[in-house]
Amino acid sequence: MALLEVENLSVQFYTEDGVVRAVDGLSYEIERGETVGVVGESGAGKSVAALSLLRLIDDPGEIVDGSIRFRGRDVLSFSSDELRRFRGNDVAIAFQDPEAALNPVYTVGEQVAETIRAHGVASGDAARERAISLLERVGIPDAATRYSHYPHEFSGGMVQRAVLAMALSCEPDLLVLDEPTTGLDVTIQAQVLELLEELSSSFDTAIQLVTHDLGVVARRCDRVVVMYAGRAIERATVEDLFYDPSHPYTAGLMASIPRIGDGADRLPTIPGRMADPVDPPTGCPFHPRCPYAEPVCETHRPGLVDVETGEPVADATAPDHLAACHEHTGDLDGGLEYEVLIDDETTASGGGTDP
Amino acid sequence: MSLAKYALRRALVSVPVLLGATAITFSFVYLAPGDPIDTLVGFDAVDPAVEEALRAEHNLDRPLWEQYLLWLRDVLVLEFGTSPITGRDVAATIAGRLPATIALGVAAWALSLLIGVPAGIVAAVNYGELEDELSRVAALAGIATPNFWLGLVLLFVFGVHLGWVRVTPPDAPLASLEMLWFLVLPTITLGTASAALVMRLMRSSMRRELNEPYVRTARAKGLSERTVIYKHVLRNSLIAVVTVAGLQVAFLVDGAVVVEQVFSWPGMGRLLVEAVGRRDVPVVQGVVLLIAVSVVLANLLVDLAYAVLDPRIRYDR
Amino acid sequence: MDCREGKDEAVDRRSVLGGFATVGSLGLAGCISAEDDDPVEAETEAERLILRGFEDEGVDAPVETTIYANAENDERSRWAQLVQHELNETELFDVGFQQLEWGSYEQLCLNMAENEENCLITLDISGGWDPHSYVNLLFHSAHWAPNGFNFNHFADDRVDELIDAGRSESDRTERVEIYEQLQERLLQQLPISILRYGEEATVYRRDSVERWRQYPLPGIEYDTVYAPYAGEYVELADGGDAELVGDAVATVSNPDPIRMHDTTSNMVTSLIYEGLLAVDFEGRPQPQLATDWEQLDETTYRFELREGVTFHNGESLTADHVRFSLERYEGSPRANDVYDWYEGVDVVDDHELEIRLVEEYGPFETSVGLPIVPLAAGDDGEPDLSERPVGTGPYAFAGRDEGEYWRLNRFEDHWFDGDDDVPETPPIETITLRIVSESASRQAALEAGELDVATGLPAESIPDFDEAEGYGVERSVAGAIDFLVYPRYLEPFGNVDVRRGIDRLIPRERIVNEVYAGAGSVGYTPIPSLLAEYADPDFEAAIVDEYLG
Repeated sequence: MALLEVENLSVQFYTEDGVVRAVDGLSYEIERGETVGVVGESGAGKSVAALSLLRLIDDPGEIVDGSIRFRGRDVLSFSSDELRRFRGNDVAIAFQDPEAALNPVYTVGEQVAETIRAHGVASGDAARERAISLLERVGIPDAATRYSHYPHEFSGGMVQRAVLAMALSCEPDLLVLDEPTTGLDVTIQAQVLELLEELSSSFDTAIQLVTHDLGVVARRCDRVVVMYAGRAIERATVEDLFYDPSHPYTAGLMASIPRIGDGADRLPTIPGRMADPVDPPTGCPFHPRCPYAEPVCETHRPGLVDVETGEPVADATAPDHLAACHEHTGDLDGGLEYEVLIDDETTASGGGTDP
Repeated sequence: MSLAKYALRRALVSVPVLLGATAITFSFVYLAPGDPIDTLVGFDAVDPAVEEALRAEHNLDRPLWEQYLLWLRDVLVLEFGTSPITGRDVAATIAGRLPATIALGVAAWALSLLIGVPAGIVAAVNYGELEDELSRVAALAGIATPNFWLGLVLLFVFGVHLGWVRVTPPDAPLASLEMLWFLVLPTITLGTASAALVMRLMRSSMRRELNEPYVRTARAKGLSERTVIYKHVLRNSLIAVVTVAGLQVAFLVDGAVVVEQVFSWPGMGRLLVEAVGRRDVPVVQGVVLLIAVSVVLANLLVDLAYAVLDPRIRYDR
Repeated sequence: MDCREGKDEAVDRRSVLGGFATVGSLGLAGCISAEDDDPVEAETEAERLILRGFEDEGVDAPVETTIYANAENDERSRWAQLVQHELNETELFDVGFQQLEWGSYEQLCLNMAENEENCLITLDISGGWDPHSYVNLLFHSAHWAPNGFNFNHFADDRVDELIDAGRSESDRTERVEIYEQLQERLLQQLPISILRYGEEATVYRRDSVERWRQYPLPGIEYDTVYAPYAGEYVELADGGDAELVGDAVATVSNPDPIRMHDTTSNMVTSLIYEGLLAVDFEGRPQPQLATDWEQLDETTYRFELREGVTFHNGESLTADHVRFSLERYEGSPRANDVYDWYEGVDVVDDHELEIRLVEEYGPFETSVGLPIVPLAAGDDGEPDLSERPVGTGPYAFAGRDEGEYWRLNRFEDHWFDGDDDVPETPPIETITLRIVSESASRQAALEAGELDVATGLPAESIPDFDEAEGYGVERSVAGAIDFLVYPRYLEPFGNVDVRRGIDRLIPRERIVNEVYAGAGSVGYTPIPSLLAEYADPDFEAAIVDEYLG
């Protein structure tokens, strides 16, 4: 039994333009201590999926199908009290835009200590002491003073650290990080990633890392789920994914990573735009943007299959290399005409892959 | 401390406001036809010598600006003069009415917050549901009801027909149970519109705050919904309400004129109306100055409340 | 006491302002119905008169003008609209209606002639017990507004002559003759149209007082509580306590007679102060602090003072008090109350004095009853009458809370020993006048039993009390007239036929019955029926018939 098992998760939003299926039949699992990346462009449904884990989908959104099991317990059937104890304690989340995620009118320390108190880990001065030591752990200098500072008095990197401290305050088994490095400059990014590594090993925390940055994925993740238009279109270990991207979208994502030392020619981003969420394309949702699209892609939606066998995998959580492209069921006439070049010298600086 | 310094600076900045308010009132009272002497002599042609002597006695024969400066000079040493109409000390006259007005104003102000804030919270939390709709209708009714009409209806229903409360103030000290009981209706009358306003404002402010990312964070931390609303959202929502709560002081003064009339409440609203009618300039000026001071003070308090509620605002820089 | 009210100019000024400021009550101006359509052409005598006037002046119908009223006075606005409606029905006029706030309205009225405003204005005026008080300020050419209430700057030598003659004639019979001539002349000239005589009404709770008597003039309402000079007093109902709670419509602005300028101050002090004479409920001067008086010659009156009269501060009344009290007025805002006629006082002895007048003065006996105050109120003296009024009356000042109440206590040393009509001791010990400025609130307070009597109820609520059990309603014709002022400085309103035509169109009955719910009576002549001596119904009917049809 994995730590987290997400099966066939579907989330809908009811908007004025129509129903949006933000997450559509998503399945994946996370093992204890493991770091799983969820990647995709904005609007792919990564953040909604992350929020669903804590049942933080607000009106007008709704989880319409699927199951979420945490240590075998059905999260979707939790009572409000169980849910409250679950949030922040078993699974914690650190949102993107950390400054907005903190309440501007309470001190950073208070907001960390509050979580500690809410879950009965410690109270009073003990909670305060614990919060200060957490702030120290995430690398905030002079934590005792910083404890009583307000979010707006923190720099971007500091506030990200503070949010991490808050998320870690009850030593959760799973930490969901939503775009933890967005908006930070490269040096700080590197520091935060180092910190994550150190924390996950010392707390033995599993991490679901939601990002659109494949570089981050390459550096931090054990396994990866690639999402497009609310679905998983490729799932693999980080090595498999980078050495053998099996979906044209994944390949496209990699192609758009800027490479260090390569200022000369900008690599193309994926042409076209993310599928219209209200009125998704028929067949493969990626086909309007796919350079290898064939007529079959417009009419048939490809299922997630083992890239080796082309067979659908019964156990949705199986740790195989899966992708949703007609190529793997042999339905594509032309095939995927891209290749991956490995340049070992650049791997350290950001997941160097070449088309 | 620097907050004190800020308060002092604000107080200094408010001096021109006070000067402006009193100067404008001063000229308005004079632009209006008739002066106190006309009132005294009943708009009749009395012996011009008598009239001139009376005018001179109250400096009314001097140019307007000079009269204003004379008034100002006296006010600086807290000397408000004597009313030419009643022959009584202006400061004492106003002081006699002040407690009643403060009691009514504070009660109505408190009511507007005590009703408005919780009702706004309920409406915001139950956005789009029955509670929200009910509160919307109630707020609309509250704002649309003229307080004169509301006061009379309350007076006839609870005072005359049910006999639960008195129609005129009891012969009792201000700080007595009887007086408190009597104050219920005027307070409701004066506070209703304000409460409705505060409620709507609280609701919309809270709706806005509920969509802020920090609310999601608070929930994700496993805080109870109570804590999320009353600790995290409320304090942020109150910032907008505090602004209006300060402005309400002026709003309540306005309403007090009517409410004091209906409930025969011996406050400054009625004093002002009568003084204006009698062209009793020193009394009008005194009351206006006091109102201006209280509005300025209220806004200063609002600023200080901001600083308490929102740490991003600092006055010490 | 009441003579203050009874004396002329000074009083009308004061009371007119009271009348002006009548506060409107709930409700909007009534809608106008009445649909009788007779298109164009002179159908009635009124229309014929108006058309003739138009021809004489060479103007064509319809003539445009605007009728005004002040927004605070609901009834006035309604009757102005009735007049507007009647005029427009003839299609000879195109009349608009406009309401102004009192301040602007007052300016419009006082300056209409100066600015040649094309407007009809609607007002009322209150006078006292002397006819002079009704005609002088309204019609004398010396009182052109803004120095009086001759709003449309009417000037007629004959009228001036008659007004002056009435003022300086002290013989009753002569005066009646003068005022008959004056009224006839005024109806013939018709500078303004009088349409209604007002009414004063008081409502009282039968569970508190047995009966009440309405004094006809405002400011004297509470004299009925104990008025030996008029043979009146109020008896308590079984179960009523010895405190009488009444109403006052505004805060007392100044209780010192020489600075007093409003009806309320007058009202709350009328039981405190007494004068040489007092005017009873029928308008007859009666002895009060004087026991007897006689006119020695045209300009000299001798008064015998009552002995054993004590002021509330312990002083004993002497002739010096009378002289002091009258001369105190010199240079004061109320100087006219005295110095219109006063020459001097000769003190004969402690209890006898002679008052000399500057000239013969018709209204003297209704004017001389000014408050007699203690000598201690002299320069920088205590009491300061503005703070604490002191007199010789049956009630003494007992306290006030500005804006809340005014209280009087029975004065145990009052001089009156009792007679067949009035007991020696007033049954009511304490009088509390609650200051209630909103008329609907006064009604509520009366119904809730917090007031025993209410003098300032809205006119439209009085008929309800007539029918309600447990209440008594006391009415009296008042010294107040409602009138319409023509812009006679403008054509065609300068034409008397036009004015007479309009006068005939005024729906007087309807105004009294519908707008005022039957309160008051239809009136045509400037001297109201209250002054019975000067308002002989037969004579009035004759001149109305002759000039107004």
